[in-house]
Amino acid sequence: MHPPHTDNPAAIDAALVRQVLSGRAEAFAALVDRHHARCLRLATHLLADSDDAEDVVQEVFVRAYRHLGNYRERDKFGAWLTRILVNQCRTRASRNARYVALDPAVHTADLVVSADDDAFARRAELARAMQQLVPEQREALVLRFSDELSYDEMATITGVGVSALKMRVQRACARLRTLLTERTPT
Amino acid sequence: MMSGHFAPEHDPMGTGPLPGWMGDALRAPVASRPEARARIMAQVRALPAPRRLSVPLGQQASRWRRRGSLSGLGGALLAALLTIAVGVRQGDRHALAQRVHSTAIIVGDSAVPVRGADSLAAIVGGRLLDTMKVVDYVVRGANVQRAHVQHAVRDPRAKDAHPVPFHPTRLTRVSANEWRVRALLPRDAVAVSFSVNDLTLDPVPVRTGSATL
Repeated sequence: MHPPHTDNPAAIDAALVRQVLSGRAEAFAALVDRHHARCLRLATHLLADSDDAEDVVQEVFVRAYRHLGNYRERDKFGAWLTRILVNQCRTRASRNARYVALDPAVHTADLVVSADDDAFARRAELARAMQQLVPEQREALVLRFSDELSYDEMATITGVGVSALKMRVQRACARLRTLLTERTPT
Repeated sequence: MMSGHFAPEHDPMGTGPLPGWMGDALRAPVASRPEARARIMAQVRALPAPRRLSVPLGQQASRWRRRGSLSGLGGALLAALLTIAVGVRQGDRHALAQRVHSTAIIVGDSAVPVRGADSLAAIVGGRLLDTMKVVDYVVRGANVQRAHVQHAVRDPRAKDAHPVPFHPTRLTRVSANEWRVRALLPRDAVAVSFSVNDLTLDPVPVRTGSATL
């Protein structure tokens, strides 16, 4: 596999995709390396279940490989992958009838890789609060703040209008403030 | 513990009241199974290689050549081609009609059993025979490859609008420039059209001797 000589992430992805389509399947491993952590983070926040998130991310990459012929270079591979991920998470959530983790401790434990006790406690609180958001609000919040997407990018990925997404994010933030303030010991 | 975290903070995303620590928490990496990448690649290697289904961006047709862009012009072009084809066909037909002379001349009458003559209705009705015209069909002209009597009509001006039940009859070549056949014609037919070299000519009246019917 020949690594592309460029600093532009989208161009690197596009070059790797071209290599895969030209028959070098091993180039896909580089795409997995580049996007796996981000996809897993999004799926974990969206599904609030680390096992489901791992399964979904694996399905997403396999599905992306299978349909790589449909990918058009004028799109960004990352956005294309995120669109698949969001759809898969929605499917998994509706199949499991849960966007809420059955065991919040599992989710919060996996969220923390290395953090001090205070950060761990914050994140555990945040994870619990996010489980109480409606799925649409949680999805908008995660895409906006976990993946740092613009509203236009979010609209492309979710198929929801920009104004509706802004409203969802606003309401999600307000709801989180309320939930976390209520739980905060005085 | 958390009260301080909701103090007004900078909003790097410019989207709303989300404390910075929350954004940090949402962006924080999550633990992954060490074998996750290997499992994905194992599944990928088991799949057939993906093939590009769409044309790469650089090789895409220009917008003028994509479907629908030239539909108006394409339609006009198609109409023009069809018009030309019909014109050529009409021209061929006209040229053929100029160099071919066809006639249908009655030489007598014949009585043939009516269709279903052995049926009870025909026997009771007493209609057992049908009078037909015996007609000499002749086509004269150069370069005739095939000749048929194609249609029989009651009104030559209406062409195929008033057809008479009639089986196409093939003419036989009798000389270099003449094709001929003698065959029956329903009595109510007043004109026939010939097909010469697969081109159907305008109907010609069926005549008796030198008189037109």
